[in-house]
Amino acid sequence: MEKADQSEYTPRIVVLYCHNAVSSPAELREGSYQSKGVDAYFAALPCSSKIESSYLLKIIADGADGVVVAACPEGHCQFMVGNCRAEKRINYTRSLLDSIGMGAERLTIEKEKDLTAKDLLELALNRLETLKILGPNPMRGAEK
Amino acid sequence: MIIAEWKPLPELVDKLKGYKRVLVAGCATCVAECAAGGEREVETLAPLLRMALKKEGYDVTVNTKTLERQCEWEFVESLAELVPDIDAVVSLACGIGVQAVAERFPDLAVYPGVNTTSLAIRQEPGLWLARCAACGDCVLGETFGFCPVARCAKSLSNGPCGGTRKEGKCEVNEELDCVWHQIYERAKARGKVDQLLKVRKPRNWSNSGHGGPKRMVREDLRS
Repeated sequence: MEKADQSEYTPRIVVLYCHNAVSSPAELREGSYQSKGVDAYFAALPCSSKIESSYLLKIIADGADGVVVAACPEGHCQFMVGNCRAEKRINYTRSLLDSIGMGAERLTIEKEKDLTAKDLLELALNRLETLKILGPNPMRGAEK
Repeated sequence: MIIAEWKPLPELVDKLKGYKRVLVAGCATCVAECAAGGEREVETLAPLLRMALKKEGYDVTVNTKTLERQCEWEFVESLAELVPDIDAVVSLACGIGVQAVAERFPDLAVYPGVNTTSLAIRQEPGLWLARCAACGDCVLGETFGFCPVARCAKSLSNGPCGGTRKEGKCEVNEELDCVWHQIYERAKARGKVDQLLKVRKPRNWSNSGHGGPKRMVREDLRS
């Protein structure tokens, strides 16, 4: 794989957020958000437990450099244990990514509440350093 | 149900190097119940294979299809329309399904994506325990519903051995229940411990896998 010029590398990060973890779900716009050094895409989930390993892996196989799942803090899930289930699935998916050398760090979960669009963008920005170390997703340009 | 576990991904990826069009074929029955080869696992494995092979420098198209059962010819036949467009199949079915696909499409490279391990029950979410060894000489009627062939580490017909731990656990693994302890406790609860005093004769192993591949025939069902 050719090493990309890191100075021009803008990681693409998909932020999947539980709509109960954000302060104003009706006002938060899903879609692309650009900021300095990051190309983010926000998508809402009815609960973080709605994620499946297959969805997360498809997002990465389709070229995303990183995925952040924003879940409710423990004890705040409206479905009792949805956030705990999400965390288990994410840990399992991270192990799968690791086993093929893609890097478990491409996928993370953050548990917070009353998140705003600015907070979600901040979660994506927090991943920049790690993702730059991992380098661009080799699947970029190979989307099928 | 038949239990299977994913093969290590590097082993699988190594087999698929060089193929351009791969089909991941699942089975919606036993291996779906044990979270190894149903639609969910098929859709999980497909992007993993794409990524792993791309990382190794191989561009590959990975398609998916989950059959109702891979051990029935009628369902296997539904792969026929896909076969002209694929070079290899990764089957997430048990060994029966893998062989059925390979037999129906002998010119196609068919690889097992799982290791078939046992006949088991889902004890609780995420935990499966072996319950049957398909030994061909069932003794459950004499052992109060516990199978000593599948559940005793030594497959003893006349247990327990001398290694049972105080808490009724197996000497091989302290997390395993000693099945002969369980047999005794159930016999005692039913007031039938005396039935366990009878020495059971050596088992008829000729009806197990040792006698060659099993073959069952029911003439009344044959065409």
